[in-house]
Amino acid sequence: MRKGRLLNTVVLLVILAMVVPTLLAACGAKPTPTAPSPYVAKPSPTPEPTKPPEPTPTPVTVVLKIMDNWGLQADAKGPPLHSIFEDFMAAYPYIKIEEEVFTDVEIPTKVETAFLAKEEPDLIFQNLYGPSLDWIKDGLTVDVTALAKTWGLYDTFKPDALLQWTDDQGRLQGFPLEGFTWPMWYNSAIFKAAGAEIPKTVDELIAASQKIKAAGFEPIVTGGSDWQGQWDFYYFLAAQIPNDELKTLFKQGGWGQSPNVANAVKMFVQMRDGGAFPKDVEGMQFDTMNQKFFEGKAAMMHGGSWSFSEVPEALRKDIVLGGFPLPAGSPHQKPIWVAGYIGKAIWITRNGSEKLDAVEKFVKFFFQSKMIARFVEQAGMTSPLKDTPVDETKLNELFVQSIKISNTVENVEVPDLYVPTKIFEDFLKVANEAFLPGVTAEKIISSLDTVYKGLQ
Amino acid sequence: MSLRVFRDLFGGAKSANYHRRKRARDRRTFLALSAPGLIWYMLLMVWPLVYMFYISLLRWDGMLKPKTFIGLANFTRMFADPHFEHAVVNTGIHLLIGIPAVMPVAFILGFFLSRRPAGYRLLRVVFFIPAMASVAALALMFVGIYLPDGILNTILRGMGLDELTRAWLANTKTALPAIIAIDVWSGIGFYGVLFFAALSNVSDELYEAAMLDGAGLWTSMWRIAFPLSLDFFGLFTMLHFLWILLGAAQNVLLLTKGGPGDHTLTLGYYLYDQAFLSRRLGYSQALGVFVFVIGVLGMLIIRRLTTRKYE
Repeated sequence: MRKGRLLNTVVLLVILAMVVPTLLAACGAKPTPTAPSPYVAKPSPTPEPTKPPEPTPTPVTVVLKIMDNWGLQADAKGPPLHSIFEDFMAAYPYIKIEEEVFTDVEIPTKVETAFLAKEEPDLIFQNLYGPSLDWIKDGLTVDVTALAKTWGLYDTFKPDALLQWTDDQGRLQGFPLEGFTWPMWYNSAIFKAAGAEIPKTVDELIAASQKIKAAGFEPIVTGGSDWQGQWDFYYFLAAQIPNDELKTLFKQGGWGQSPNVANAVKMFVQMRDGGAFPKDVEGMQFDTMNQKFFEGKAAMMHGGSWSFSEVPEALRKDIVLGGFPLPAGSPHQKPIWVAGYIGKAIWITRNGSEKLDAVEKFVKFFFQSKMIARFVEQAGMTSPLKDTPVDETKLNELFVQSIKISNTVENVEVPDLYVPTKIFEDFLKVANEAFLPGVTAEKIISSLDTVYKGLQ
Repeated sequence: MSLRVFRDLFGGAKSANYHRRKRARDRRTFLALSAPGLIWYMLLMVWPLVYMFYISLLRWDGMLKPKTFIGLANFTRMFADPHFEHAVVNTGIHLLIGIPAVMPVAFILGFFLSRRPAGYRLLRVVFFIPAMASVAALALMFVGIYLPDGILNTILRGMGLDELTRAWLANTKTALPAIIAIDVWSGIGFYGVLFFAALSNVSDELYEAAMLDGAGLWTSMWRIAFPLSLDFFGLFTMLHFLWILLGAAQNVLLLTKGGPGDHTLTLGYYLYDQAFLSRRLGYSQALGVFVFVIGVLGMLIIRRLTTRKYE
């Protein structure tokens, strides 16, 4: 027994001998300063009449953490973004950018979790919808109105961009970045093959859909089960509802009380049941939509400017951009489309507000018109700045077409800015359910009203 | 040599004190050795479970939002929620198809491997491949199979069965079966290898004796191997039950996100949806409590049905 205790004691001492010094080395020792503080001037060695020049203090390295979804492989805005990062770090070698890339759906959860641990990134590139509508209220991000003015950037932005990014308390939530257009895309080659005309009214659209189907093509393709279908549903409704009423409906509900809503939803159901959408549209997604249209199997889609650069070369000449045709009795004067600047902004977080010197340099560098021009030329992005000189030979032809048609279409509201965060996801799901065969107009409207009861 | 050892060696009676001290020492040693594991378990398993029950009694609409105690309101809402009802039905269908489709077939496969046919070592690895592939890789593979121009439709067209082709994940009638098929495909091989490991301990003499009595392979499998491995059968069934209840949500997340409509919405995915997309943390934990209760009940039932009775 004594030998056992002796052995235990020896083993314990050996373990302590191994562990304790390691712990002491990790925790106790402080790093020895190797150089004097760069901001403390060295004393002059001798009182000579001509002194040697003082060494320029070396700035301390600052790390700017940036979270975005443009770094994902498929995004056309990734290369211009990374080229700006590289140029910025070359211009400011003591500011290092660390990028974290997630999808835009994941970013709110990532950011909020990090915020609770006081580890949120300094800058976030994010859309204005759903969770991000509450960021400034929750203290995750800061009001950048004063910063934009002090840094001389405020007046460089288009008024519409500033308006869309300013909340109802007058706070500019981020530096507006991504402008977009969201027109209807018509494949003129399919229309020609089917013997149909590009429609100007909903009745013409339904008639054209029949001919297109008879010719073996899909009329309107959309992603009925994801965000594409969600926004398309409300886009189709918007053709029949005045903008002011639509805004109120998005904010407060009351869908069941509006005759315009009843007519709009019935029109949508008529399109769905009349075969305007492909079979199984209720299960399709954004990627399927793009694939079908880019392969020349579908005649129409509601595609955004973010997809301009993905269109195969051979197809581009056949694409005619336009607005969504108007139903009879529509309150709008021209075919409708969606255009705005809520695609993306640069938000400054609480952590970022503690590194304002580096953030200012980055933001000013980023928003030089020649930098924003890269996004316009390479990714078909609409610039948020008043003046963005671009090399027109580099512009995507669909982007140029979208500028040309901007006077022939009327802009409509989207739910992003108005639907309360609390019910936003449920609101979008009603749109997906609307694509299910057999779902009546009454059921859709009733579901919308049920969602808004969640606000009470 | 100590006096105590001398006494023990030559049969001297140990004192009651000695036994008491030894028991106390054994208890202390046992606690010292098991304490880290117990503390770890308490922190990572029990505490989150208790916290889940607590959060289910709150209205908490996002991690940065304040929490409000609302009692059982989340549960009341849950039982009136049509999405919840769809999720329960879909999960029930998944369980009723998934477990009977996987476990008996996996057992047969495991028995087959345990007889060590030619090439059984290679077969063992091949059958285990689905378990080695990540969920994302498997999902991507099945996307390629289920696409409108994917492998499945191509085969059907090649056989002249064009009328059977469809968008498998987009169609309301085939989306859920398509998701279930992924779990069945990956489960059979995985549990087959586990059954092989369990059945490897069954003595060959039992099978030989049965054969001498005229039993065939099928009879040996179900009358000898199955009763002897019933405990393992129960354990693996419980594992698969829990996988379907919770883990299968990964395939829904990657492939259909509960759509079209609610046709592939399961309890596991709905829990994720409410927590991370709709940001209703309190409500999502109420769903978690429900899933926990179902999980415990299910495991008790499976355990009851698959416990060996010794007569």
